[in-house]
Amino acid sequence: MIRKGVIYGIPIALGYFPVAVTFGLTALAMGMNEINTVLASMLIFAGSAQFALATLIKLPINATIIPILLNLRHLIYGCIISKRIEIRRPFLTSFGLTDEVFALSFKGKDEKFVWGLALIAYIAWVSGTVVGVLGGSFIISNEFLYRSLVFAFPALFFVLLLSSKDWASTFIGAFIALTLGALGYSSLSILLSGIITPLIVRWLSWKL
Amino acid sequence: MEIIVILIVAIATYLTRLMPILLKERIDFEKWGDFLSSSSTAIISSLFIISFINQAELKDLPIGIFSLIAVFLTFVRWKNLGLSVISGVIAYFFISLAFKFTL
Repeated sequence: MIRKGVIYGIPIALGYFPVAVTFGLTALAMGMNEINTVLASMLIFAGSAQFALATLIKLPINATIIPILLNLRHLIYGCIISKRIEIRRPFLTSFGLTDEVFALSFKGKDEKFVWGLALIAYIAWVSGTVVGVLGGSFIISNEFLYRSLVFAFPALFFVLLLSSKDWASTFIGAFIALTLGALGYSSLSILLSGIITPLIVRWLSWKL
Repeated sequence: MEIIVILIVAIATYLTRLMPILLKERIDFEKWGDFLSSSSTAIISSLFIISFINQAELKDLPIGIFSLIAVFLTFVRWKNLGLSVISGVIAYFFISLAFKFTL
């Protein structure tokens, strides 16, 4: 079943590798060093959280809190998958439970399938980061290239929003970010929108 | 400091993946499903706005908008996260060059 998981996970790896290369490059551009960038991919293994961490790395408190808040959605994944599949080795299985691995886990029937998915995804993620880091110092010296690579952040978050289809939370979160961002509270806006938006969405659902 | 931030985020990420599996019989996380889902989307939306605004000056805004259109079209066509992000990066590079040499 691990082999089947690896085969099913090839599309995940194809998607992860270029994003991981971009993460390696842009994390360097944001001021992270090479070893920490690769360590982040090896230890965290969560795309949007790592991009958020790299974006906010100059503000350590935000760089810690925002990725953790972003990953709270994983609570739901663990809850759902543990009810569907018998998990005998939770300490191993849970490590690789990314968004995409969780989504594809529905194609299999046991946790070894999930291991296969996670294994190929992890290899692609870490190797992509290493490639990005090795090519980084040369590429970020070019202004056009540098700006283009930094564009990977809004591009990634934009694609994640397109996938989520929760338009109420998207627009309320964006409104809070724009308003507080215009007042000079960019970092605070991210944290506040994560807390306030669900309350507004719930209030609106009662009212409407 | 960086390594401490990375370790804390790594441990917290691991725990958010592990704890529901270990505590599945004791805690009903599904009750919090709507709140957590909405919170994640709102945070990603804020990160999008802040990163989009911060990544360039106001005069570069059209480059960013055209590049987002490239990201959108790639995602609609292939539904691939990595490909969409890379297409946006490549589009931004060439549109920047086009703006430089035409304006």
